[in-house]
Amino acid sequence: MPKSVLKVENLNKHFGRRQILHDISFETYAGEVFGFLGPNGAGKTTTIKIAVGLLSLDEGDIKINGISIKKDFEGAIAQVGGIVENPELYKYMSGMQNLKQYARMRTGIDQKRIDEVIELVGLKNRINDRVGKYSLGMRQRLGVAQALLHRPKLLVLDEPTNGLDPAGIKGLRDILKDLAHKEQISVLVSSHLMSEMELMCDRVGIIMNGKLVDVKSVEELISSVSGEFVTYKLKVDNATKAISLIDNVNDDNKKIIDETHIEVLIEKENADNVVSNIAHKLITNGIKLSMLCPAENKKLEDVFMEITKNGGVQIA
Amino acid sequence: MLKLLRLMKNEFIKLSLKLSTWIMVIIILAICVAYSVGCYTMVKNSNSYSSYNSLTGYEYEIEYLRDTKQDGWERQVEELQFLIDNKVFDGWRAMATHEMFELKTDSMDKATTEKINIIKKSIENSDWKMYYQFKIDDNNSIYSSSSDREVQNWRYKYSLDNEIEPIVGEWKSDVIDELAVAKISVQRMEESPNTITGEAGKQYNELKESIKINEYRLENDIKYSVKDIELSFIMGGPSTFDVWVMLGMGVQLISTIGLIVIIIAGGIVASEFSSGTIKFLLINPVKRGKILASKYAVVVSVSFLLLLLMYLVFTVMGGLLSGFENIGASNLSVINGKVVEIPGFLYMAKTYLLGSINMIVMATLAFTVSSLMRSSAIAIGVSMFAMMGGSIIDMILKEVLRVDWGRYLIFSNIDIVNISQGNSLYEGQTQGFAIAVLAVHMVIFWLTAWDGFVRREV
Repeated sequence: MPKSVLKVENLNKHFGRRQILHDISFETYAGEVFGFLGPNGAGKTTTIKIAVGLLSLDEGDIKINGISIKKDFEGAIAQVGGIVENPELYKYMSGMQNLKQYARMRTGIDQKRIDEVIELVGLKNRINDRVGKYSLGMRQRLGVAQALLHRPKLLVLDEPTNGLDPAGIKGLRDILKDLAHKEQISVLVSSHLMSEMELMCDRVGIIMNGKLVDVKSVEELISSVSGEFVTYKLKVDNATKAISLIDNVNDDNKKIIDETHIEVLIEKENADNVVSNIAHKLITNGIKLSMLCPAENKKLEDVFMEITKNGGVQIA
Repeated sequence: MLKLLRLMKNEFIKLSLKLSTWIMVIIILAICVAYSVGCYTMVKNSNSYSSYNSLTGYEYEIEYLRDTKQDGWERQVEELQFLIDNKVFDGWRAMATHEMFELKTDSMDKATTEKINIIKKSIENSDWKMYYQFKIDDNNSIYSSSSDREVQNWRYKYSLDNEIEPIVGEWKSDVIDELAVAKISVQRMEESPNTITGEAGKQYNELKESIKINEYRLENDIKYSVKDIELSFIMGGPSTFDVWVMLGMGVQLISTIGLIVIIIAGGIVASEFSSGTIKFLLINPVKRGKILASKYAVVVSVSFLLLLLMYLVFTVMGGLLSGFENIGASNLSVINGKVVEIPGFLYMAKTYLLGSINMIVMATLAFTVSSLMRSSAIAIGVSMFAMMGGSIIDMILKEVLRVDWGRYLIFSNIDIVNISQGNSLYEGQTQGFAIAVLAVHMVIFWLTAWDGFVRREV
């Protein structure tokens, strides 16, 4: 049983009369990257801001490493590091001066730790430059360094890949995965870029209209939507003749795409047998089979679209 | 506590890394230096103006009298000519000359002629002892009661007994002159005790205090005493210039620091919002109240640092322009009927602190608006308006709308230096009252800022 780090319990939040969050409850564990997925305005940032102490909560509680944010704010927040929205640090200071500012606000951080974190995010060569001269990617790295200074148990990043170039995204992804898997930090990342989440996260929570719809591992989530069938694509010289030869599949599960292409839905359980049978039958009956392969797996993106469609999403 | 100090260090670093802070400090330095030179020049010029009673002045006056031929002009010309012939410009000889010509009439008796001769002789020989002895004899013949004689003769007797020659500008003789005038005034007032009330009562007490202080100076041989300067451009400035006069005049410039402190206070919270850094500030394991407190503490410390800087600049400039010889002087005050010596720098520090209350209150207002509105422009604007336009609102309430509750407004109480000197707009508005009103306002400002900042959704 992995160790629970962030525990969100029945979180409710109103802005004026509008309810932003409805009874949100979930947990994140040490050693995992948890993705918080949802369209813009769903309540991701609001939840995250409450978890790092920028917003107050109306009902429910948040516990970080077992410490309630309501009862011991300083104690709970001391376990959290984070970047909320953009990495806006003091532009007129150097990276080092910025880190020293944050070091003074927390306990137990010496120069050695600061150097360690700078090394980790790969900013050693530019740390004495003014932050105003940094690229967005460098500011994001400095933000991560800031968040890691006090060795937090929970690292919270709100839309961390926003505005980063592909190389920057990859760099950040590697840092976060390393932190979670090697240092046993619990990382909470929010995003509306599903493809990004798929590469980065171990588990995903989907939030819509202020309600948590689902929490599953990435694999679970994908298979839960695609079900027991796998789609196979065939390329043949005569589609009409070929489809009549495939007799070990229900008529509903096979269809002609065009003159040379066929799609067949095959049960996962017995897929290997069925596929080799089909191949054998077609070839022995003189059909020229030039391709037989499973269609690409459903992406988290599609899963997300499907779930939100089923939930009748209306993006405000 | 340690955490608060570390937070304050952060704030100081932020300020010190901003170019605008240093530009403001340099502006303050430049203004202080320029003001010092300006004050020095003003005092020097106003003194050269008083030398009007010199030789050319007399000659000019004679010419004027000859042209206009007013009643009794011949006598006045004669008096002026006498002043010129004997090189009398000021001091006891001028007084004696005037007295002599007052006595001169067309039909003088023998005694009067005798008096005139004595006075004339003493002036011609510059023999002050002869003149003072004559004054004592003369007073004894004029006043019958012994108390009158004592008061009227005190100046002459004291000078003769202690061999203090009356010379204008010599501190002892100046103190004796001042004392003599005060003693006579006090005695006059005491003759009709029922008139010593209200404004006259205040004046009476001030005279009594000045007598005590001046007697103490003579007894203890204290050449110089540090005083506040009531700068009035109608009455003219102080007559001499030194370090303490410079510092006294410098009190007027505290509001300049006030402007800069308002700019800092207005930006210290709002700038975190406008640059987005507030999020990184508030995700730290520090209660918001502490962050706000550290920022306020830095505003107040910067105010006092700037005040100290200003004080030092005025001391150095005053010394460079006129010498440092009075730097160790004390202030003399009457407390509970006794004369107390307070070291000059302590006394002036008190005056400066009193003058800084205005600045601190306005900075607090700016700080509060800043933490409520997230906008330094609004914060600075509101506070500047309160600082500059407050007295106008105050006047409108008092003189146009004629409401009395204006006395409870911040504007009517903010000019604490003026109020402590007794120049308040409302009757009975004492220094204590003003401080109480300001204290209530400060508490409201603090609570508003705290509530707004701690509950703010970022």
